[in-house]
Amino acid sequence: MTPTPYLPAEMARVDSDDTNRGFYDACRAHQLTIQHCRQCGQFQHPPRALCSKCHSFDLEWAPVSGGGTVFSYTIVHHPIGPVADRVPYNIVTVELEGTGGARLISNVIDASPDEVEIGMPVEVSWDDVAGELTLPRFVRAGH
Amino acid sequence: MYEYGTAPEHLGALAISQRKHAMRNPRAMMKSELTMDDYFSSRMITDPFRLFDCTLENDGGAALIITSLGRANDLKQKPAVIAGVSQGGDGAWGNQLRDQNAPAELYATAGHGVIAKNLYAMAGIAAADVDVAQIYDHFTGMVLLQLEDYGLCGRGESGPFVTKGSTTWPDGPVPVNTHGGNLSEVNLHGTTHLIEGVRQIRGTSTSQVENAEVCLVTGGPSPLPSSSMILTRA
Repeated sequence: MTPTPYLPAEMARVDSDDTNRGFYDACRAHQLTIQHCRQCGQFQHPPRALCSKCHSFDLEWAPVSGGGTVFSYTIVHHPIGPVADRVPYNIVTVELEGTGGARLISNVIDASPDEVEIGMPVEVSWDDVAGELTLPRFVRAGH
Repeated sequence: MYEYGTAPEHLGALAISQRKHAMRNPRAMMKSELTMDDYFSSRMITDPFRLFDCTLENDGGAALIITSLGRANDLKQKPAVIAGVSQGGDGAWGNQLRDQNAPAELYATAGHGVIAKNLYAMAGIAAADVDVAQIYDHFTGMVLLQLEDYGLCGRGESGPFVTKGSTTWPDGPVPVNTHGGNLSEVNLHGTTHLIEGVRQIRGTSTSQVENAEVCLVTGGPSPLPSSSMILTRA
């Protein structure tokens, strides 16, 4: 069985800053939001100070469904640091539906290494890691 | 691998090819033979990269002297001419290695397309003119993608290209990493690729390509911009 949580709380984490705070604040409320450009309509992730396509600063946090498909993935076998007892674990790139192709790097927490595949439908599953950090992870859709 | 059917055997073939070159290089760290069985027996690091797909990690030193051709012609060693340089990258590829957000048409590339185009234009050559190449190799897969970006083979064809020996000295049409590269010589962040490029032009490599006149040397496809160089005879 997959351990709970999927990866330990002691892993290195991303500190929130002015650019990504909106994303992490929404995560704490279990709402997946993706940065959306009000000028050209691009969705982009990870968050940036300006739109990578039209360079506008006019960005907003757009709620998305949390559904998507696995665009690509790897299985990590190298046991290192706090994840040494969790190998092999997956890292997936999820293409989020309703975003025109924006991708989020995460894990599918209910799939064994040989079950992960490109094109697999997934949906968000919230991981209240520790303190103020909540991360979007994914489970197989319909399972 | 998903789009073009590139297989683990293709990655292994490149690691073995570079090890053959390293075995001829007295400076190389890795001098024992590497077989396909050894490759597949090595531990998986991050699928599909096994141990021998990954660069060495070393301390060391390397240096190059760059001067005018007039001064270089007065020195004892035969010079190699920097015939072209290009810095940049396919913008939207950007931080692909970290963020995995390159657009679909650039996803299975090294992001070096525009570098290759500008580099060949500045040097006044075409991909077919490259006699030998030193291609930055933090991982085998990134070499395969660069072979395609630099037009040394077609898009999606790098796996079979390597497997049939195209990058292996002495018979391959474009021997790649004739010093052994980061995978089997030493990892000094690309400086030894430049030095090996100079050796090929001078005619002093331990895996010398006969009558080598044009050597491609590439920088690493990590976060852009990256840069590459063409070396030629004076």
